[in-house]
Amino acid sequence: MKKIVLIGMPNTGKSTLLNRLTGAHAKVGNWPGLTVSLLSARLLVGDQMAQLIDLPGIYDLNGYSDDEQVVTTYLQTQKPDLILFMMNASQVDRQLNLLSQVTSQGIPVVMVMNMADEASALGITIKPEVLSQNLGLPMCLLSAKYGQGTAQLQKLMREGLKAQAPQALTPSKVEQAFQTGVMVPAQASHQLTERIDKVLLHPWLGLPIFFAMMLLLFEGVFAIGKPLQDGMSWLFASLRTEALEPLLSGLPAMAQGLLLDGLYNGISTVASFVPLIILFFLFLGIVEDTGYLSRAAFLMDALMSKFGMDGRSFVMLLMGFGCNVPALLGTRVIRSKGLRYLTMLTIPFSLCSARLQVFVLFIAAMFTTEQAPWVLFSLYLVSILMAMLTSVIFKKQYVNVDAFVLEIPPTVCRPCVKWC
Amino acid sequence: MIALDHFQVGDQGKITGIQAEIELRQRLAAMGLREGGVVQVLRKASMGGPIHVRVGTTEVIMRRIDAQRITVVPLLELMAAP
Repeated sequence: MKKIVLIGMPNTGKSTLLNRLTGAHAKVGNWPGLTVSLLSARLLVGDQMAQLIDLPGIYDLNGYSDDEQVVTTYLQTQKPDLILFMMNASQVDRQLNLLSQVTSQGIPVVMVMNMADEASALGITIKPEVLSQNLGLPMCLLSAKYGQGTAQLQKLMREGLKAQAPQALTPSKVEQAFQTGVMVPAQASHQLTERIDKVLLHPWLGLPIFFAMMLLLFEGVFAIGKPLQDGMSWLFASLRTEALEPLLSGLPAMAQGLLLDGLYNGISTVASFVPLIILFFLFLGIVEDTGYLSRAAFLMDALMSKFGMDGRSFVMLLMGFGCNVPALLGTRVIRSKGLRYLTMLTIPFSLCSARLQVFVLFIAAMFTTEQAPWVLFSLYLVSILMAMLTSVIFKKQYVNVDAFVLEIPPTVCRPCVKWC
Repeated sequence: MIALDHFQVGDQGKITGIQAEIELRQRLAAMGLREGGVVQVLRKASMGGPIHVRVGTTEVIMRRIDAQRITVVPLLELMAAP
């Protein structure tokens, strides 16, 4: 089967395109020689089946980060048949170097200018014919989010699978081609984003607003998730009393205990958390899409840096107060292994809501009503101190090699760009 | 010529040098922060937190310690020079 890979910088919409082209059939696969899992799906190109693979977003093919290593290793060992190079049409200037590197891999390339709608809202004019001719590469404009331009892309992929590898383009040649192919107005800026950022990143109001938003998010997750979780528990319990217990009644008591109290109870308890985790990721995904998490990282970084972590770790730690499991899973957004491990070590000290119930029970049993709130408060205080202490102890062992340089996504709300 | 972390909010300047190891250099370049680029400081976080800059159409946040390695000539100074 032919292999088509998606290469591009982070946030150029590679995964969105993969999902758009292949529907819900994307699956995560493990690849020989690589330690991470890549998203891939089958796709009908013309009359043949091809495999479309989403490689991690990278800034540089000669870079040193884990993700960049993954992409270069993949290109060398798997030898894909076609590269779809995804570009963010509203930020072409900084992607030219990567384009030049991609053309020198000896693999046919199709250029995909994504977020074309956003670029035109910013007053950026793109002439695809001129660009395509200047570069000698087939290209198309696309809006992966709204599905415009996918028919054209299908055609280019069909042709691309039969095409020869392009001539390697030098960075200066790429730059020249873009000078005549793309017109950027002198002051391209998102006025709405600017106005929203004035409030969200306000020196003093920024943090209170952030905490209020997070509280709202937790409330939302638990308001919807708790009844679902209770429903799941009830379902598992009824399954046990109605079906499993009568079925296993013939077995000796020890085997019954092993199967029902051990295996079944264990699995069903874990499974009942699934709705909460799904909801949590759904909500987190929405927040991530709006670009608010990188703004939160901006607000909290000063404090976190004292403990060897950075703004992103803080977001995950905070998630841990809702539920540790999704917070631990969420650390995958952190690129540096050291920082990722350090964050994972501290998250279990975030007192999750399940532990809160146990605390409340014990506190009610052992302390007076006047003492109770203080005991609870001190438990939270101690847990935060423990998390920070852990971080201080281990920060030398798990060094964060990644400089805290983050892109702030251009819009807080992508569809809003159209209106301003 | 001054370091980017000493820029005031709203100031614009042209990048004249980046004193960083290759890894950070590439990261910054990929964000559009390279010699000759024009950068504007949008805001600085309180308590010595990161700074928020714009270069071209890209907005980037970085720690002041990293911004220190970027030397900039204020645009006003450039215009005043003959």
